[in-house]
Amino acid sequence: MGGVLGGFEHKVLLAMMRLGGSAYSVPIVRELEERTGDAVAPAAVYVTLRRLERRGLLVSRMSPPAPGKGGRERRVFDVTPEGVALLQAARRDLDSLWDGVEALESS
Amino acid sequence: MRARTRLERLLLWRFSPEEQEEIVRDLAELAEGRGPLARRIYYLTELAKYPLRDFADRWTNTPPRGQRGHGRSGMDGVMRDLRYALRGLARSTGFTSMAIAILAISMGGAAAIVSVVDGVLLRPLPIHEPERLHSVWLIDDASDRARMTPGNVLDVRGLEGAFEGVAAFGSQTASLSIDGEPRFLRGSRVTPGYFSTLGVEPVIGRGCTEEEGEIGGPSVVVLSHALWMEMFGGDPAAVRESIELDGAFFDVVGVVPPGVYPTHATVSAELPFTTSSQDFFVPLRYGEGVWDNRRSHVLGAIARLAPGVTLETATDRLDALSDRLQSEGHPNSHERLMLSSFTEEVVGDIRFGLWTLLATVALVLAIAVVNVGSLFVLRADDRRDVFTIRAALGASHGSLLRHMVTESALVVVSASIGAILVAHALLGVMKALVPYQVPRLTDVSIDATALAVTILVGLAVTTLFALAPLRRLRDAGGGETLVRTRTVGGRGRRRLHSMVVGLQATLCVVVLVAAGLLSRSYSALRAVDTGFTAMETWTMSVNTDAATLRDIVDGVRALPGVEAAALAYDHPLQRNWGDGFAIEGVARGPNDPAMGGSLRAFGDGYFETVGIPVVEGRVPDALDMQGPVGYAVVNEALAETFLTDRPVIGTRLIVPSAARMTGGDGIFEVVGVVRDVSFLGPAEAPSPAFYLPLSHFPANASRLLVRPERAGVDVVGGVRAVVSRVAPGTGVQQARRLGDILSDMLARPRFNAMLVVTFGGVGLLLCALGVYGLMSRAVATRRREIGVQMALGADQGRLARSILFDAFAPMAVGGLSGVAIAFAFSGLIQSLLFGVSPADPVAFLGSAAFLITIGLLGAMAPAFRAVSIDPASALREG
Repeated sequence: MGGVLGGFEHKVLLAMMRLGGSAYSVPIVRELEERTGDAVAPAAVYVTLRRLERRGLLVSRMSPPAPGKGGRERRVFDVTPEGVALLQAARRDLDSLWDGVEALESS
Repeated sequence: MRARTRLERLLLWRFSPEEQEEIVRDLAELAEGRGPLARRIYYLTELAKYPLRDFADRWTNTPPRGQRGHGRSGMDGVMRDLRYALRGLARSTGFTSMAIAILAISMGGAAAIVSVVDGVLLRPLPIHEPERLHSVWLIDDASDRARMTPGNVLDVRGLEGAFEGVAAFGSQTASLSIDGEPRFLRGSRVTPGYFSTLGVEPVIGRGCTEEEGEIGGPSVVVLSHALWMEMFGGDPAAVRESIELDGAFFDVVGVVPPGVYPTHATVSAELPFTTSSQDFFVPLRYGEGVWDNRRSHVLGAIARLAPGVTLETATDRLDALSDRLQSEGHPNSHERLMLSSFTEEVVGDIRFGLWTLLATVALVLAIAVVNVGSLFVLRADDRRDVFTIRAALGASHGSLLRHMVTESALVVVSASIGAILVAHALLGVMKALVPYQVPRLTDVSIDATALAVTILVGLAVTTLFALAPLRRLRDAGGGETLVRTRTVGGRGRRRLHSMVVGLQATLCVVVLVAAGLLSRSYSALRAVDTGFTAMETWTMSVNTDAATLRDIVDGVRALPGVEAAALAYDHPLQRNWGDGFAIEGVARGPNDPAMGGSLRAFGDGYFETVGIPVVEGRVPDALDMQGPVGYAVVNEALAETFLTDRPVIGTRLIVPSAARMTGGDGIFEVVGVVRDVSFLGPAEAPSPAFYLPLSHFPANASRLLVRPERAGVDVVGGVRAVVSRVAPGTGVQQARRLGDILSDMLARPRFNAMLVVTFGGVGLLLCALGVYGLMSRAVATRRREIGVQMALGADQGRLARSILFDAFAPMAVGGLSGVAIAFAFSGLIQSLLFGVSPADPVAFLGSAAFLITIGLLGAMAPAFRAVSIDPASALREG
């Protein structure tokens, strides 16, 4: 399980954590655009979600129709414990790599 | 939910309807808050990214097997089918290589023969309006066709209005030095109008002019396309060059396209034209006296009907001309002129042999297809369980079908590549076997259409067979098939096996009978005693005066490695003119047949040099030739035809033409009888001939015959050295070994026999393989039944015999039907046979026996396998 996270996969997972779980694709696209300032292709998010689900880092379910807003079923995603563990491991790796880099940069 | 637009469906075709709806809704939501146009643009550009992202995602992240989502790519499917098929074929190399080899050989063979039939028989001749072109012959009371005399050529040419052109030709060979290597060339001497009468335009330059046809005219030569390509690489500047033929220089004036050039019309109708492989053309030159000659049948002639003139009209005109010539009392006034279609002359002779070959190869192709088909059926049967399991696991019939089609397509594609190679190789072999005896063969190349049609037939039939088991699989239903009992092979299937074996046996026997008849005919031809034995003897022609020739012969006799040498007017495989004689003291009655035969003029040592045995008496020696009395030698046929009522030796012949030539009495005393020689080759019965010594019948004998002590002596080199010493500047021409000339005469029957025998062998091999495969299969399916029988104490020998009988019975029935069919049709190839009856029992019984023996050998291994089955393990498997 797990393996290496690609750059965009990493971003998508983090955006989902920020949204607090049970997110569907549209808010994820918006969150990514807001945080990175770049345009994000919904198609990229879509296939990434599909891939992450295939890898067992996400799990999806059909949510009951939200009140208002047309009221249709939507596929919502939650990060699995494996996904959370992988994000944490990635953060550890990055932190330990960053350790000391700022000092060098400012010197 | 709104319906998908066409564009959405197109872009999102790889996604499921639920996914499509999800995507469309996401995009609509994200597009909100933009102006109408911006929203539209955003929607479309982002929509277009879905298939791209999807493709890239699948390409870079191929999921583990079994976890695929739906919507497989089509390319993936094809590649997977190919991979499966390759894996399956690689696992059974025996089956695969056999199927490919069988199909490649039979399809290649068929394509080669079809190409030859098409190129030789079916394509119109490459000449202008071939239907207007006819050859002209003389025909005598005995309806023997003969070549034209120079005088008669002028007679026909003088007919006003009937013909657009009349041309004559004779053969000419020469040696040409290319890069220091002497080459034997075939060519012809032709009258100036030859090419226009024939209807051929030179590709560069021109034909011969009237002036070049005169005695003393310029030495010019027209090259064949092939020689032009070989010597000049197709350079148009060749027409300003000259080439050296037999030591003399000739200016090249033109090059003619590849095609059909009548050249050497022979006296007999046997090989009326030798049409291919003409290397060069030089002007035919006769002095005034020769053009008046109506005695010597030395020229071939063609005539092109004038526009609007029918064959009937032209024939009527020729008849009238014949009547007129008869009334004028010329020496050959009993002969009449006749026309025959040029196209028939060219291809009529070979037509039958080629159709026979085509039929043979079609039969072999049929055997092959039946064979490969049954191999596929067997294989599918063997893997029935695999397919059943796959079907039970959810593989659709479509995917199983695709798998089988892919597999058979792979086999046929590989076989097609093989077939192309086989076809080219076979055509090469055919061209080498009969370089010029089959007209136009040299111009034949493998016909793409023929190849494509053959391959398509192979593909269609093989695929049909390959799919047959699938139908059975479906009929049976997956579950039932899985638990099917293994005890009995199934009566229906065994009947099918028997039918396949029987059908192959029938086809095979037909081919084998043809092969047997043709090869027996060929060996009968080979076994014919041609009457002379010295096959290593060389014949060549040296054009110089008689005294110089005698010096040359003396010089050649002194050469190391030369056993004997002699001069003669001709060599033993050459027919010359027939002449008449009378017997001294015998008055010819008005109803007595004219006496005559082939007149052959010889120098001393001739009979020893060519190896013609003396049957009775002796042959004149050098001393005899110096004396005043002329001594003659006759052959057995002449003695038996005309001299039965008297002792042959001592009979005195009066030969009028000798009297005219020498001014003497023309009397020759017969001193010896020699063995008959088949002057026209083994297929022709010997005819009466008499031999007169050159000393007393001074014909212009320029033929030198040299017998080496052993094969491999450089006879030609030695003779050239002698000639350049004795008579510098004289050429040595037409050097050939007698054995090679004889071999050329047998080339066509050899060609027919070899190809039909080869295909017969292939057919037989296929039959044996088929029997082996089917019997193996039968034994395998009856394994348990056999195990039970053996457990119950069945006799092994009887068991083996019963298995062999299972193979023998259909083969015997099929073989006998084959014999019956072959018997009904063998009369068709009678014209190809020599010395063998079309109902030859050896060929018929031999073929059937041969087939059954080979078939039983094929069944032997499976029978042996059957009796070595271990009953215990066979029963456990059930």
